Amino acid sequence: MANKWYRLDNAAKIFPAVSNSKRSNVFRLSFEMKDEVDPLILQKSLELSIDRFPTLKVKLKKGLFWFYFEHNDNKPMIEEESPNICRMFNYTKDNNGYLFRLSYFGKRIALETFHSLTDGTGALEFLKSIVYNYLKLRDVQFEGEEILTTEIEMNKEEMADFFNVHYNSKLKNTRKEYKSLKYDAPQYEGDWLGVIVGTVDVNDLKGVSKKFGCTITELLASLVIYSCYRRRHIFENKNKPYTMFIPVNLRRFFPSKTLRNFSLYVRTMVDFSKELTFEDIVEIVKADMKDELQKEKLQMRFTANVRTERNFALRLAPVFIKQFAMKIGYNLLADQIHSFSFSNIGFFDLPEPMKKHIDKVVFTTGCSKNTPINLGVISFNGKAAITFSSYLIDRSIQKYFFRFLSNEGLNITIESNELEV
Amino acid sequence: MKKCSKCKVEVNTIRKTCPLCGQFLENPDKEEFTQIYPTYVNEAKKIDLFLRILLFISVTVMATVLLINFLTYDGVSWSLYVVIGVVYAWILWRSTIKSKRNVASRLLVQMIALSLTVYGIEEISNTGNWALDYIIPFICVATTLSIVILIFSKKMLYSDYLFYLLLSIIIGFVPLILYLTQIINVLWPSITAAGVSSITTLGMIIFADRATKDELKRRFHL
Repeated sequence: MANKWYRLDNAAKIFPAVSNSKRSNVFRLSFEMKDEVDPLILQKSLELSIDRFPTLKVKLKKGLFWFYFEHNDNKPMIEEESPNICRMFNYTKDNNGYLFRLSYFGKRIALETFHSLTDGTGALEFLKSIVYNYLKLRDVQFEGEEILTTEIEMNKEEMADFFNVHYNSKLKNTRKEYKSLKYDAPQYEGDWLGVIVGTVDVNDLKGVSKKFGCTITELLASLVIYSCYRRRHIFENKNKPYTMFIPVNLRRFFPSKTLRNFSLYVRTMVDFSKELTFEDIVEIVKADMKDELQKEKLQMRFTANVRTERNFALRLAPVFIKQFAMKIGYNLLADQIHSFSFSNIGFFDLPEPMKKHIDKVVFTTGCSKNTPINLGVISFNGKAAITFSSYLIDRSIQKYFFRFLSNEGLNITIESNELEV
Repeated sequence: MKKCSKCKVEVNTIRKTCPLCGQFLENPDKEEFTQIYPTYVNEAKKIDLFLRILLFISVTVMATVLLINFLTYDGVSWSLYVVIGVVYAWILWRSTIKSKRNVASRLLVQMIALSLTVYGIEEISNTGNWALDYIIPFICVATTLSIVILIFSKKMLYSDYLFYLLLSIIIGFVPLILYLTQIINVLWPSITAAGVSSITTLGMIIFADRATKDELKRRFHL
């Protein structure tokens, strides 16, 4: 149906305006299979899966007042993996207008998604469905009870913008934003993104977090902050707090089946001018998480975003003026208030017949010039993949991070792409 | 697995040194490793030398003819023809022939560029109203008809082209407005352009009312 179209959801609206080659707003999920990937079968399974995800079968179009997604009649094509990870999308030229790219390299199937389309949860559902179809086409036998999204009927809820559903006009946003500490260190030329993946056993990791009396997310967040703190001379010498953003899946607080963006971040701030131990940082992170992770507070914050979107005068501005305003606003405000972004998708599971064919799953976040190093974590089948993606040539944050864990007795396996380019 | 004794981690890599600290890796079992990520390709931006030479020549030529014309001025601004010609050639090359944009949008750019060019020549040469009277109305007709033919040949592109078709229809009424405000004096070309625009609009309403309405709704949603 060529007439189908969607408004961009509240979070999606910003990305087309502010993306560039050094801020692609692209994230990547990849499955490392046990066998070499067959491109022909992968293409076939993509074609089978895409029809189940109408909100992904779209291209980005420009209207007079807003961007919108329009049904895409073209076929999405797979490609061989590019050496450049999480590279920016060209909305009109890449992959027949699709805003995701599915690629293969050796045993890996990777899905890179532009953040306007969906968040990590939505993209993971899509990739699960593709891999499910892929394995089915490769003659993997599934029992009756094992059903993935592909075989379930579509649900209207999957296409809804839940920021708007849970908008509450009575709430006022009282949270203040602070300028954060920025890096002052050389970066790779162009848009090369250095990626270091460390794989550890989830139970071992849980053991370490128990030792410090916190959750895995809090442990890893504290550890990143501690590693940055130990390497603080690659930061500018200013009296600003180091601020970490941690995206939270709002579906946890507001039950929803939506396959579009429905996440927000919480933040934790640490003052690097003080003397700090790792335990101090854990306490700060725990307190910040407790304070920020409240349903009311989250709702109040995205309500403020939706309120801006609903402002009638703003809606009347032509799209190029909106884009210009968003670009300026983003550079002056949003881009200045965080130093690091740490995204933990958490655990997910798959039916047993699929599990046997998958070695591990990796989640890689994109970076930007102002937040040149980020962390993505995902856990599957007892393994947690901890992935640093970075524009920084300096790798001491990663070094301090993994050395801390190995000193805690964890077995870590490191993989990386080329880091000296 | 290779090992880094300093970081106490295992490394699955074809590298010789630890990705974290740069120490040499130990490979006690003499294992073979395969590449996990594709090899970096240096994509230094291709400098299109040809294009730069062309740009250099264009600017030099324009500056030179302007200067010569200015120094030997005898009441004829002949250098402006050269300038208009060069600028139009650039638009033709960059945004029509080399552009990867949608065909209808390129036609529209061409329509505007061509109209401005002929109007410019008319004004400089002071040879009456031939461009506004005859040429521009027919450029409008040609653009509108071309987009209509494009839409007929590839039905799927209707929604992609509609926006540009609308613009070209609207521009098609401009010559008639110029006639009514007595800026131009010949009626039949401008009435032809307006007629083609009207008939196209009628066709859109009768044959593609639904698709047109939907596309307008999308393009103009608040």
